[in-house]
Amino acid sequence: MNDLAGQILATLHRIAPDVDPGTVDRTLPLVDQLDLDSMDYQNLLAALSTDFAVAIPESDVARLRSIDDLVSYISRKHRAT
Amino acid sequence: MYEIRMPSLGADMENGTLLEWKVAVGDHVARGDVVGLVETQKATMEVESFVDGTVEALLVDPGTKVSVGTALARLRASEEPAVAASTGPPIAAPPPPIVALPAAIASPVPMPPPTPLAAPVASMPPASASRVRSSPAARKRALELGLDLEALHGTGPHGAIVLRDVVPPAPVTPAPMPPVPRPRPSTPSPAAPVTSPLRDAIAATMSRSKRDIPHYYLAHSISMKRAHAWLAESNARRPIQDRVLPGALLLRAVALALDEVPELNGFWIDGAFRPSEAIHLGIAIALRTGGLVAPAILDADDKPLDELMRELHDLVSRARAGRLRSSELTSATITVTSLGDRGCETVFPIINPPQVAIVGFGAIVERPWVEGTAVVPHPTITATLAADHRVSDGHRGGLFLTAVDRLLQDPEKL
Repeated sequence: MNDLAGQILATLHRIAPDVDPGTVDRTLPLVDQLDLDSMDYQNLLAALSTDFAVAIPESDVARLRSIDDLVSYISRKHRAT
Repeated sequence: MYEIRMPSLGADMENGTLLEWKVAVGDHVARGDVVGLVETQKATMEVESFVDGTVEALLVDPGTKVSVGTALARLRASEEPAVAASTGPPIAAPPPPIVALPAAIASPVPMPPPTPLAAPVASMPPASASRVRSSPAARKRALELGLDLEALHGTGPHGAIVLRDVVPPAPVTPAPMPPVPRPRPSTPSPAAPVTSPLRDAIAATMSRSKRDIPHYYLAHSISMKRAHAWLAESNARRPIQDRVLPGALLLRAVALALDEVPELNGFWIDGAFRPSEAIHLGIAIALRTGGLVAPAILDADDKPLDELMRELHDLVSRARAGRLRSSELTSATITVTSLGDRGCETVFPIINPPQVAIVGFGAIVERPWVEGTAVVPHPTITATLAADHRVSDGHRGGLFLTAVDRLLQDPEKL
C-alpha cells in the first residue's frame, strides 16, 4: 500500500515538478493543498491511468481527490482484474 | 555562421542566466532543436536553434548571467563550409557588436572574414541576411525591435514575413495572483528581498499597459448548462487521456468569435493598429513558484477541439516543468486568462501590450438563471473583455462576448 502511494506521488511529481511530494498529506484533497488547477489534475489522472493500467471513467473522477482515495481506487481495480 | 543569443521576452527584460547546455561542440542540430536552458525574469525556457547546423563554439558557461542579445553559441549552418580552424592561425573573429541587434534570438552574422570584423551586423549583405522570405518593411521593423526574422511566423504570400508578423515579444500577462516571493538562489537580490525579478517585470509591463492603453471593460454572464451536459456526455465515451475540459471549449469559442470581431486580434505598434490574420491565443498560466507566463497556442482558430485540448495539456505540462520555448512566449496575438475551478467569479484583466485585448473567464459557478418563466440553477461563467479604445469600442467588444456566448450554446459544433 505504501509502495503504491509512493508510486502515485512519483507520478504527481512528474506532472507537477514544482510540487514537493514530501509535503503531501495523503488524506487531504490534492487540488486544494497543492494548488493544482483542473488541467494539472486531468494530467495526473491521465498519467495514473497509463502508469497503472487502470481505466478511470468520467463518473469516477469527482471522488478521486486525495492520495488515499487514489491508493484505494487503484488497489481495488487491480484486485478486480 | 549563426549565433544563438540570449533571447528577449519583452522590452523590460535586460538579462538572463544560461542554466545548462543541451548540446556540445561538434553536435549537429536541426532547426527547432533545443540547445540550452535559460532562466529569465519571466520563466525558465528552452532556447532553440533556428537553423540546421553544427555547434562550433559554446561562448557562455552555465551559471553565467548575460545581457539580452549576448551571443551564447556559434553554429555553422549545414550548407556552409567548415571553418578551417585546424590549420593556420586561429581566426580572429571578434563577436559581432551586440548593440546592432540587441534582442536577436538567433541572427546570421557574416562568415569569419579575412580581416577583423568591422562592419556592424546591420549592414551585412542582404543575401546572407534574408534566409527567410520577408518584406522590406518587416525587415526594417525586425531590426528596430531586435527580433530575428527566422524566429517569426510568416503570414504573407508563400509564408513570407510581412510587417504584421513582426511583433515584439509578449511579456507576462496580468491575472490576479497573490504575490509569492520566489527564492532565486542563482540570482540573489539582497537589495530587494520582498520583490522578485518576475514580480518586477510584471509590474513594469502592467504599469506601461495602464499608462498607455485606454482600456474599456465589458462583462457577460454565460450559461454553461449545455456545454457541461455535452462535455459530460462526450467525456463518458472517452478514455481519461482524451477527456476534454471546459477550458478547451472556452478557447475554441474565443478563437471562432475573433474571426467575427477581428479588431481585437493584433497589436498596437508605432501609433497604429496592426491586425493579425493568424489567431495565436496566449494562455495565461499561473506558476506555483510565483508569477505567470502566457505561451501561445498557434492558429487556434484552425484547430479542432481535441487538438486544442492536447495543446493546452502540453503547454501546461511544459510550463510547470520550465520547458517552454522562447518562440512560444513571443507569438500571442491576444491573451486569454481563466481563473479556473478554484478562482472567483469575475476577472478584470489588463491588456498585455502590444496586444489590444484580453479575454477573462471566472470560475464556473451555480447561479439562478431565468428559463422561460422559471428561475433554475445553471452553471454559469462570467466572460470579461478588456480592450484598447484606440482600436475598438464597447459595441464591437460586446458583439465579441455575445458571439462567445452563442458559440458555447452549441457545444457540439465547436
